[in-house]
This record gives sequence, structure tokens and C-alpha cells, in this order.
Amino acid sequence: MVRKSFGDPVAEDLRFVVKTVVGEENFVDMYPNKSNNYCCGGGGGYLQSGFTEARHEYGRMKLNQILATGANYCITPCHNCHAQVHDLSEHYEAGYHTVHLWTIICLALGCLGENERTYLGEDLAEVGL
Amino acid sequence: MTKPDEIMDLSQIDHGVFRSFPFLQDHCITCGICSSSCPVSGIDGFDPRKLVRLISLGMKDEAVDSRWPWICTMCGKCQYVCPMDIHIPDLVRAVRSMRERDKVPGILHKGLEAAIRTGNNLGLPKEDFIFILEDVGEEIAEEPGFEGFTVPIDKDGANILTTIHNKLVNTHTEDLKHWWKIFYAAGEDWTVPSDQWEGTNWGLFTGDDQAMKTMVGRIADHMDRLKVKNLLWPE
Repeated sequence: MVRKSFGDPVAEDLRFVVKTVVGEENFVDMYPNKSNNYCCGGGGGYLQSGFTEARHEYGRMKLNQILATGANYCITPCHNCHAQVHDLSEHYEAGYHTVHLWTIICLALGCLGENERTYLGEDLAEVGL
Repeated sequence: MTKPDEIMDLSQIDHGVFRSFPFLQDHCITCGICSSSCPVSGIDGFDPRKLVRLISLGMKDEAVDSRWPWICTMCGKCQYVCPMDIHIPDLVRAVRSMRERDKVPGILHKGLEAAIRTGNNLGLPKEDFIFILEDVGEEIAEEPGFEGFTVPIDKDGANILTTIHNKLVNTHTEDLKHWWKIFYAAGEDWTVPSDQWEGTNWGLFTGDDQAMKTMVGRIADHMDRLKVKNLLWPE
């Protein structure tokens, strides 16, 4: 969406939303970012291709980017990204949590239901219930 | 010393089936920036520059039969950094399109066939789809602050039409709730089609232009039929 379609302005919009819902002090950007970021390796049909081992190898670049931020949560805006980034954390036992952008928005709105918290860690599991 | 042009007469190169490719592949100066930028360089011995050279040299079988075009996600980092602006992701997709359809990897072509036939990758019947949407809607209506919530299916003149990722009416129905709650909180006037609702378009992945056009056409038809101004296609 950023590099191939709408460019950096839409990446700025996404950062505005994330910072608004998590608080600016809790936001850590990764490097490189925006149009110069690396693909997670879940899209383009990879998750459906059956080439799991190659997909995990592809994702090492993204895994290292995430780990370099030191953040406990990685927010993903798309289904493919979520599935891949979540799987990378499990496969490489990286320990970070992967949440959909809209899950975090609902958490901030105070309307995230009890059974909608699969991807939250212990620190956020009870927030707003 | 033998000069390169004595070893190979470049004017004699047969581009073969790739002759009509419009992706500027012959502009490649073999600088290798694409390969340095690519997260998949090294896997299967692949890197974008090698694929561009295969195409430029007309090596069809090597390109089409290999796994290379399929372990790339067409993310476009290579083109973003390419000083010659070679359209490498489009080139990859075009090579994918040349693979026999029964040799397309994984579930991609089977899912696409189901979508063309039934309107969604799962082959989920319309009545089951509506049942799931209404069931999830009723769960939301039981939560404080969402009393009276209903799912506005096929609503004429809504502001937003949203498509559905098949995963959300299969194994991840709770993820439907997030979207709908945000719409509700924002007072958004939205709708969802009762059939042909599939948001994923695997024709994009497999290089199947005809299937992709069919899938996009269905969404466009919903927009016309329901007179909806904006499309939320969150895939």
C-alpha cells in the first residue's frame, strides 16, 4: 500500500493513527521504514504457496527489524502481514506479540470484547474489561 | 585477449517468448542493487538480477519452471531502488502467468477457481455466509454500548462498501467484530454484499488477468447496484 500505491503520506497517516491509540511515547518506528521498508514475506501468495521454509527464511529480515526496536508489540495493518509476523515470532521464539491495527483501535476505544484478545500479551489482556 | 563481443554477439540474442515483455528488462545494467535490497536473495540461489537476466536472455523454461517467481512477494523494493526503473515485480507476475495452471503452487489456483465459481475462495454458500454475519452481529448487540446493533447487508446508498477476507467467516470470525465496532463508534454508514463478497484476489498472485478482472468487476458491480460511493477493500 505504501511503496507501490499511495506513497509515504499514507504511511504518515498510519503513524498518526497508531500514535493516537497507543500514545506517542509508546511508539517505536522500525528502520528502514515507509517506502524503504522491507516486506514481511507473507504476501504475494507466499502464505498460500506451501513454501513454508523459504517463507521463514524470507522473514528473517523483518524479524531482525522488529527485534532491533525492542518493542513488545508489533502492529500489523493487513491479514497477510499479521499471519506472517505472528508466525515469525513463534517460529524463531522471538517473544514479541503481533496485533492487528483494528484490535488496538478497539482496545483504545474501550470496546474490545473478552474473546477478541487472542493476540494480546498478559500486560494488556485485562485492560478495559 | 578475446573481447566480450567476440564471445557473444548480443544482436543475435533470441528473446524468445519474452520479446514482447514491456518491463524494460533489457535496460538492466547488472549493478545488483536490486539483489542487495531483496529479502529473498540467496534462497534457492535466487536474486532479482538473475531473474532479469534470464528474461533478457530469453531463457523461458528456466524462468517459468523454477520456484524463483513464487518465492518473491512482488513487494517492489527492487524496483524502488533500481536506477533503470525496471518493472521487476510486474515481470515476476508475468512469468507466474506463464506457468500451467495445474502447476501453480499451493492452494492459490484452487482457491481462485472456487472464487470464480462460487463468489468466494471457500465456496461458502450465500445462506451460510449471511448466517455467520448475523450471528456475529447478534453477539455484538449483547455487549454494552452496542444495543440494537445489526449488520447492514446489501444496504442501498451506504457511504462505504466493505469486502470480506474469507478467513473472517471461517476461522477468525471474532476479527469481524473489530471493524464493525469501529464503524459503529464512528457513526459510519456502511454495508457488506450478501454474495460475491470475497476481498482477496488470488488472480493478482497467480498472474491470472482474466480471473482478476472478473473478481474486480464483481466489486465494481456492487458499487453500481447499491449506489455506494466509497470502497473499503482491506486486503
